[in-house]
Amino acid sequence: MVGAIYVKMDQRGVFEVKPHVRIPRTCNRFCGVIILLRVVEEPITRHLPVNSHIVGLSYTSEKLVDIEEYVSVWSNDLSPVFVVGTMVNGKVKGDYMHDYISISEYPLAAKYCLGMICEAL
Amino acid sequence: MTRPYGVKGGRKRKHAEPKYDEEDQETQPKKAVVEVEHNKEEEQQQQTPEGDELSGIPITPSENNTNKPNVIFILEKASLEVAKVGKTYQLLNSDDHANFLRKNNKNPGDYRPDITHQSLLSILDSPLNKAGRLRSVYIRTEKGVLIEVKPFVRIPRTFKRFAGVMLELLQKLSISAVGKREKLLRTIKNPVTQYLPINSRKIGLSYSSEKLVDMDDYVSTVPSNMDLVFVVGAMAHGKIETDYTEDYVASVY
Repeated sequence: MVGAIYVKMDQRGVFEVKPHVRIPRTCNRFCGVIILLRVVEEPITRHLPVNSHIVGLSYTSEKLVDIEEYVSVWSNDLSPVFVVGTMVNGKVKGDYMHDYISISEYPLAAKYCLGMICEAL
Repeated sequence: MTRPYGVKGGRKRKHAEPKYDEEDQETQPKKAVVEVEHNKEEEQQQQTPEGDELSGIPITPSENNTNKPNVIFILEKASLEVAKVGKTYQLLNSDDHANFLRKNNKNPGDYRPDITHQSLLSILDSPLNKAGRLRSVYIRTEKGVLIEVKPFVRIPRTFKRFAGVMLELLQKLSISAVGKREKLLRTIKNPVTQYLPINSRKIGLSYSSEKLVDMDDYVSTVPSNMDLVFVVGAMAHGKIETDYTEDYVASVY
């Protein structure tokens, strides 16, 4: 069960997406919906649970893990938080991450990376 | 009727000239390759008298030393259709051409080329393709056109450009790389089974299948010398029914 999705924009802060939403699947309708989303306050860590474990993902990380083995060692009272970059170039940065991993030896698109995470959990 | 055909002929003649130039350019790298080979032979001849009595056997690395099967994807029932909207020909989709489709008594929800676009991006962005195990992707449209996509192609990542490329493909039957004669996307003849390997297992994927499998376990039962062909529907509604699929599975996820 996905708890919440937070999208950090470049210049306008953070907005929250509820997991039960049905996002439009075409780009034109998606752009129309984006202007209606609720912007929440920064910093983003105030919205995360207190028992959260924040994991950043990057191709450039030196820690290459098997994602299924990585999440299987977690206890059930831990709330995992994944930080995935959705830009064309660059890498995610943040001082709130507990871990920084790479789940493939190839560079991945954000969609494929998220698919691997969701399938492993 | 004759004039458009004549115009097309003229275009072909215009294209013929740069083809000759490209052929002339292509012969030069062939000569370069031959020169490199000659250099290698000379080096070998020089080394044999100088080397030890026992000459080592050169180890040639095998190209595909993994024991995992190669994969082919077939996207069925893709809605890639060209029509004249206003004054120009366009690839029909439900967002931009809803009024046009309703005027022609067609359901706009059935025209979803963005599904084909996202499916292609998912396949070509996968680690399977980056590892070199993707052999080819075939797209069969609702109208029956069969398209071959090479695994090294870089599909445009925005839908608008993708629609432009697909429009050109459906009108000119192939898309070449810029400056080369290599075909990246090609319209090929039906049926698709003539392009599949002989020792391949053809698997259809459907939500309504009674056979629910774990995809990891299912793929591991396939012998490594067999190729896998996955048939996926690239439409919004309905199910694929093809006569060449041997199995229908649904994944547990």
